[in-house]
Formats: sequence, structure tokens, C-alpha cells
Amino acid sequence: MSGDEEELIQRHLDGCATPEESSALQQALKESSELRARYLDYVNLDVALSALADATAVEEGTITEMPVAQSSHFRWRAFAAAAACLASVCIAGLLTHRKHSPARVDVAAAIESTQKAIAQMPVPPVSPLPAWISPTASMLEPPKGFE
Amino acid sequence: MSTLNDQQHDRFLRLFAEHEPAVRTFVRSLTPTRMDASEVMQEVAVVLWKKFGEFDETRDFRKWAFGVARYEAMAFLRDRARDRHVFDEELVARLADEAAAAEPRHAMQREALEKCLQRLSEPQRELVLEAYTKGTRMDELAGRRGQTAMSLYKILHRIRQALLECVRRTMAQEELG
Repeated sequence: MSGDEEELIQRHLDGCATPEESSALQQALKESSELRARYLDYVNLDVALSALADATAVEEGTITEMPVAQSSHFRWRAFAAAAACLASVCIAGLLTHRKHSPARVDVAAAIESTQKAIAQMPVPPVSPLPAWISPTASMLEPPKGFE
Repeated sequence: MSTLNDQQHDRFLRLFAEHEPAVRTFVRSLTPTRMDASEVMQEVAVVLWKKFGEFDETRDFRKWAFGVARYEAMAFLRDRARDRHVFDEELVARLADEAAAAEPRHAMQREALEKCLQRLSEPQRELVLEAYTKGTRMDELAGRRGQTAMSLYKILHRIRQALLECVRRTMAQEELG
């Protein structure tokens, strides 16, 4: 696999490839299982770095400081848990009004902080599922007009 | 849409939290841009939520979620078939199969990435995270750094290559250890 092909993969995933370049990448991917595996590795990296970047932004903005060098567990796992919990909580919070079970102690803190943040938004949530609901970090951004 | 009881609701939250990174990676492998992936993921989450009452919980949630995600991604891509950045159905189907099969490896890669990011220099780490922050425009980021967009891309290209290489080495070491 050439360096050019790796660069092409990255350009495609960054949304910077021309239509001709994406077509060329498509053809190359069809012809090489090795290149497809590499492509999927870059996809995985892309998603993981996006998640880490979002987690960092959230931490710096609204949650707690967790310097990279001091975090043995680092942010991916924290983000994955927090973002997914947050996503789930938002879906659940908008669909139901229920009491927290004592058995859900580990999730309860995330639920509570998220619900507080939602409650501070000037517009009340509507049911059943507003368009801005997302299961991931993207939902950490308030919809337009909520800022 | 069936109504979920409290226990189903809890189980859905836990399962979704556990598998969201894998499903997102799967969706991203099939869609041209991060925005597209986010859009598809929204639909996937809604469908999973609505259908969870019908889900046989003795089955593998991730496999079920991948099936839903594949269907939603295909529907999304069909609407954009004229966009030449979108891969054709033949390749998307192949990537979907291979992405699903690769998920255990990808999960290990995500674990290894934690270590590898810490091995970057502070400026490199800050750059890569800033570049991936939602809303960041590469041309603006390059301007703030006094660089051209092209030179910034080249730096990012090298960092990403280095990260993947580090991930590969880390996984190899862990397999040996």
C-alpha cells in the first residue's frame, strides 16, 4: 500500500477529496482487501479522535478538568461512557418521568448532571423526540436557539 | 411503538452505552463525512429505541444494532447516490461486512489509542484534538497557526499515521505480553 493511498483515505474521510479522488479510492478499495482494512482502521481512528476531542471540549467547558497527563485511564473510556449515558439519558428524560432506582448508582450521577443541564435550557423539551436528539457527542451541543 | 417498562428502559440504556462507539464506527465506515454519520446515528438511535420492545434480549445487541445501522446507512446513501463522494452499494455492502467483523480489533485499537495519544508531544496532541473538535475549519485553524491548509493537512497526516503505527505496535506488544 502506498503513502498516496493512505493520504487519499485521509482526504476522503476529512471530506477534502475531489469527486475524482473519491472515485479512484472506491476503485482501489474494491481491488484490495488490505486497503479496505487500512481504510477501516482510519475510520476507527477518525471516530475515536472525534469522540476524544468532544470529550475534551466538554470537560474544559462544563464538567471537570482532567489533564491528559494525569489520566491513566484517559478520556476515550470516560467519553464513551459519559456520551452514551448522556445520550441515553436525554432520550429517556424526554420520554419518561421516572424515579431513579437506587441500583443505578453509577449512572445516576451522569443522569442528574445532564438533567440539570437540560433544565437550564430556556426552552422546555418537547415530546416525543426532538430532531436534535443524538445518541452521541453531537447531542452535547444544544440546538440552535438554545444558546 | 411498544412502551418499555422500567427494567427494559434500564437495559436499553446500558446496552446502548456499551455499544455506541462500535455502532458509530460502523456507520462512519459507510458514510462519507462525520456529519453524515451523525445524521445516520440519530436515526439509528431512534429506531433502536422504538424497536427495543421487540428485541429478543437473548440475542447480541451489537449485531442487532449493526443490522439497523446498515439499513439506515443504506437508505441514507441511496438518497445521495449521485454524490460521487458516496461509495456504490457493492463496496458499501463489503465494507459493512468487514467493519462488523473488524469490531473486536477496532475495540482493541481504541484502547491502545489512549496510550498512544499520551505519547504524542503536547503540541501534537493539542493540534490533533483541535482539528477534530466539532466546528473546526481546517483553513481557519491553519490561519491561526500561520500555516497553509495544505501544510496543516500534511502534519495531521503524519500524526495520524504515527498514531496508527503506535496502535499497531501497542497491540502487538500486548498480544506478546
